[in-house]
Amino acid sequence: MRRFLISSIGLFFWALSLGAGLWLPSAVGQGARDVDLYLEDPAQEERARQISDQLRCVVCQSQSINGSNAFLARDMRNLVRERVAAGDSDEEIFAFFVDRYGEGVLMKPNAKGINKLLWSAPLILLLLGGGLAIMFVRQQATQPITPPAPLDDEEQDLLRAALEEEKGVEKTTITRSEPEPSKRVAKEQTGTHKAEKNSNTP
Amino acid sequence: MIAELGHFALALALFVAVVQVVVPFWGAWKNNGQAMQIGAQAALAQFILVLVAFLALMNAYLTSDFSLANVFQNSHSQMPVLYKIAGVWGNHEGSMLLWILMLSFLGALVAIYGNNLPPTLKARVLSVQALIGVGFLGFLILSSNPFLRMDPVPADGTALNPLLQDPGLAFHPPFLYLGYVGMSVAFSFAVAALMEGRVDPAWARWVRPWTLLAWSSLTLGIAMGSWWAYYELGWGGYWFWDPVENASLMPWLAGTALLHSAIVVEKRDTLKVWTILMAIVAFSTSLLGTFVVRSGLLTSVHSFATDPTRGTILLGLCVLLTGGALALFAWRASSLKPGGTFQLLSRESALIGNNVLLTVILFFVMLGTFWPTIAELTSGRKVSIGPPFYNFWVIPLFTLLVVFMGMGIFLPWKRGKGGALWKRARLPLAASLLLSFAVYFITAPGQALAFLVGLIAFWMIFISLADGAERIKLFRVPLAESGRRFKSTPRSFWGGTLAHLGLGVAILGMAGTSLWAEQKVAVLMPGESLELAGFDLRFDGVRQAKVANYETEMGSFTLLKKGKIVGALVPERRWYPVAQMETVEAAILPRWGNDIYVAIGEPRGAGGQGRVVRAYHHPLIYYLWFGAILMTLGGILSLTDRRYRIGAPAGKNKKNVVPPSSEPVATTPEGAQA
Repeated sequence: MRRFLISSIGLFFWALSLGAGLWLPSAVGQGARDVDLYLEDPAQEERARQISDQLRCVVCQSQSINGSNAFLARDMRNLVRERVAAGDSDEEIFAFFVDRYGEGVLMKPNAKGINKLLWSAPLILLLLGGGLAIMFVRQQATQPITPPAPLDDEEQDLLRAALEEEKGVEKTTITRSEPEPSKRVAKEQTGTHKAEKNSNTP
Repeated sequence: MIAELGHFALALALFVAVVQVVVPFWGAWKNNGQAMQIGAQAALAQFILVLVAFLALMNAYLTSDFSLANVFQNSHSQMPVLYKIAGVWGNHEGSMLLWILMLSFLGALVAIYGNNLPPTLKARVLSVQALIGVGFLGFLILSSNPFLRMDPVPADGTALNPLLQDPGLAFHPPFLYLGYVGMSVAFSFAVAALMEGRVDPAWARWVRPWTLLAWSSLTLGIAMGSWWAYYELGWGGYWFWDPVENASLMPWLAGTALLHSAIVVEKRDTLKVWTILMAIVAFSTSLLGTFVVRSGLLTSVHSFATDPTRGTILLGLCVLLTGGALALFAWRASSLKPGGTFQLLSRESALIGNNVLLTVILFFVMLGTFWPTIAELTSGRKVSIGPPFYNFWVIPLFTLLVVFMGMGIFLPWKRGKGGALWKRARLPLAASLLLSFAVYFITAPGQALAFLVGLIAFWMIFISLADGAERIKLFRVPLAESGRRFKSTPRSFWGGTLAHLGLGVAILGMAGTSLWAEQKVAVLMPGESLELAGFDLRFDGVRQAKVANYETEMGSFTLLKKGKIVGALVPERRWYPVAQMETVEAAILPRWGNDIYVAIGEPRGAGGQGRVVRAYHHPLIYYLWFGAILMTLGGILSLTDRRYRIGAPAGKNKKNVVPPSSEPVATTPEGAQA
């Protein structure tokens, strides 16, 4: 318990140092000429980046404009920056892009019309699955255990043989002077016997 | 000539597969031992024939036999040998052949190692396995034959897609396919069990190693794919929720659910119907993935160019196999009677919760993947489903999943007590809360997501460690005794613990990369530098070189911290003249807690001396793949457990290790809990 506490404190400091390594100042780009027109204000640039993450590069496949080398993606990124600098709200910027490129430009589909089904599907599935699972668990918990099928003749014989052998083994262990090792050997023997039985009549 | 031999072997394999479907099935029905025996022989013959076909195709690639249309389209005499080999599966026809090779290989393994199976079950499993083979061999020969000749013979080939000419990708498909196709064995076992009308703990024990094999390969395959995407595509991402990526994630989710529910069947003789269903779903999602990649129905970065005929045939196969299995399921599942009962608060319930959540995530991913098609068909709207949508739902669902994970680990079978659960869970919970708060305050104050994701990752790591420590009574008994307990604990326990730990570590990597990554794009002239996460990245210029089958431009970068040199990076831009294509090879400087990633782009500025430079700082990213490797190792470790060892006699209470001193019987309760 105490050792565990000590080790968790150690882990804590390990994570602290890890966290320190992660600490990043978000800085404004420098040296940019004709690629991305970074915004002066880091907060604005960060906002532009987050918006860019949610817009699809329309000439690429499943890539956001933030993660694409395409020229169009760069132009679209700069367009986002322009709108951010002009003081548009996120909604206005998305609406602007939807007007230009259609609904497909949004990486996060809106929740209108049939898309309502898409957005609520995980919740519906979860409630449905959870409900059914709880019903099942409750129902089986109250059910009496169905007894296993009775052994057939062959199995009865095998069982009897195994039991007899075990009895014989018990006797020998009593008469022997070194009980421990011989008992172990005997156990192993019966073990393999059972195994054979299992593999024959699973 | 050799190609014709391969072609012939393929046709013969189809014939043998038909025999393998019919004869053992009839044998199992009539209880004819000889007919059932033919199933095993046919499985071996089928594998050898498919192997001959595969080697014949590989030979054509190695000798650059451009009289084969497939080789002409996907190879070139100048390509390095590694990519000539990888070229075999770098295209639709060849990869389909690899798919079938894996299928027949697994069939042969069942035939060889399945001697402890009841003969009728084995015969039926082989029959179902061959049925899948017949479908895909027929598909390959009729619509995607890799052995078709060309006349006149072209002078040289058109080369493999340069993006695929990469060591990471060369070995990624074989693992991925072994994972996809590996699920077919569980499927065959499920269908065979439905025919037999009986599922018992022994059945679960037989299915488990095959599922573990498939799951481990799939985990590794997915990890390799994401690693390839990370350094080859050049924009620093590793997972894009692209349809093809989702196609590999779906069988993984189903396989994970199957692994967990099969434990319940094995230990407690209940949850049989559900486990059978999961086995069917796991392979069906593999088939669905195969269809998605090859039909062109969904647009993706990774898909093979294909024609609609193939898509139609594949959809047919998919519907027939899945539909057939589900129909049989609907007809026969009610004959499966549950054995042991359990209370609401028990390990069984926690594992059910785990399965419900994994299934919900699976269907949610499936819905997201197909939604653009569904929306367009139903309302004519063109929508995109991207990472923001998936992340919105996956994080809360995953949070719930790890709650059940903790309960599954800390609760006993049958009946648990809330107090005991709390006692076992409170330390890991406190430790992970503490660490998450620390990360939250140090790194990005106000980012609630950082706290939540950190909590999930640390929780998974700590519950795995705590469970392992408790199992060997670490620090409670002398170390030597703990060591003995460590050895006598079944490997499947350690496998599971390692896999859980690995997933926690991987999530730490995902969190680090998605929450705290920094990116810079700039045009740099030689001698200029940019500042990234406290480092200075200096661009020293470019040089050109001609290597093997491509020309390359290498940028030299020096990474400095406070004026001191930390390392050198050499990103490349390659030009493949045959394919008329350019690729980006990012340079990555791996470090313990993060990495620096640089890619260069097109020339800019006066005299074309400047370059567009993309630089990223990715904290913790290696944890992602390290975690995936741990998970794979966990799967393999579990696979080597005596109990599941293929072909080992199925003795349930057999003791593996008898401690030389003290009471030999003392390990029993521990063993029973595994």
